[in-house]
Amino acid sequence: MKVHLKKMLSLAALGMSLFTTTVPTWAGFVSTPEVYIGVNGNGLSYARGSMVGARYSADNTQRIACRITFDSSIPNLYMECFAADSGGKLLSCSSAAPEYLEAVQAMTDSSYIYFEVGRYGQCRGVSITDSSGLLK
Amino acid sequence: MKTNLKKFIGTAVLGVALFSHSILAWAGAVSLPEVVVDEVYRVAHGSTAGARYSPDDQQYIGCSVDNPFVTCFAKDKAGKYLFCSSTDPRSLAVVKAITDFSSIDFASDPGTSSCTALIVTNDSTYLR
Repeated sequence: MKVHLKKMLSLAALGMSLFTTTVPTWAGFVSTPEVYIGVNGNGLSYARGSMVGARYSADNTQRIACRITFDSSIPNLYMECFAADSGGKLLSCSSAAPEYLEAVQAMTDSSYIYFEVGRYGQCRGVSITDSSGLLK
Repeated sequence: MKTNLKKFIGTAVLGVALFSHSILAWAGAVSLPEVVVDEVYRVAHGSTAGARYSPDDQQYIGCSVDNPFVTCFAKDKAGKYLFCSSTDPRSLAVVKAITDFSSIDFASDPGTSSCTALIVTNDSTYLR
């Protein structure tokens, strides 16, 4: 009786454990691209990748981020984005353009981020995509 | 013998299943800075997730908006507290970017406690 109870308990624990592991893998459409840094057709460097793809990648070098800075001693807000790919390649840009500041405000933990960098390190294009498929 | 083998396999499968849970939490670059308050330089820094999931029950960092007032506040694990406030629309624009994976840095004027700097960083490494 005691052995049966033990067996039942361990099977139940195993079942729960497997269930919680597999459910997230099965459910819904998921696409969480990792960080990629390259050069586009206009000769501009760009970075793209999802927050989740970078965070839960197999390596520990990938990263993608954006920030907004307010400094009372200067007139404009400015934003920066930076990325690191799995090979250790780095890319960053900065800008005070209001449209890019607003893009950073739209970031969530399920964002896909794309930015292009001009010749002087200025952001040339920043886009943020939030989608159910980008959720962990 | 057969029972022992079954038990062994069952334990191994259970172990792998539990282990795979923790692997997910380990993979990828992660950094969850806890809250640091410097009362001398009147600056504070920390991440929302780092504070929330710190082992102590003291830390917090955040900002509130009661338009046009923005207030940012932080308390570290030693109980040191700092806040700053601002009516500058630029500080409101920064606070709008705060998420559950942000780090917040702010500096507070020693005389007026107004925010002299405020930085919000949203970084994949701050995801829990």
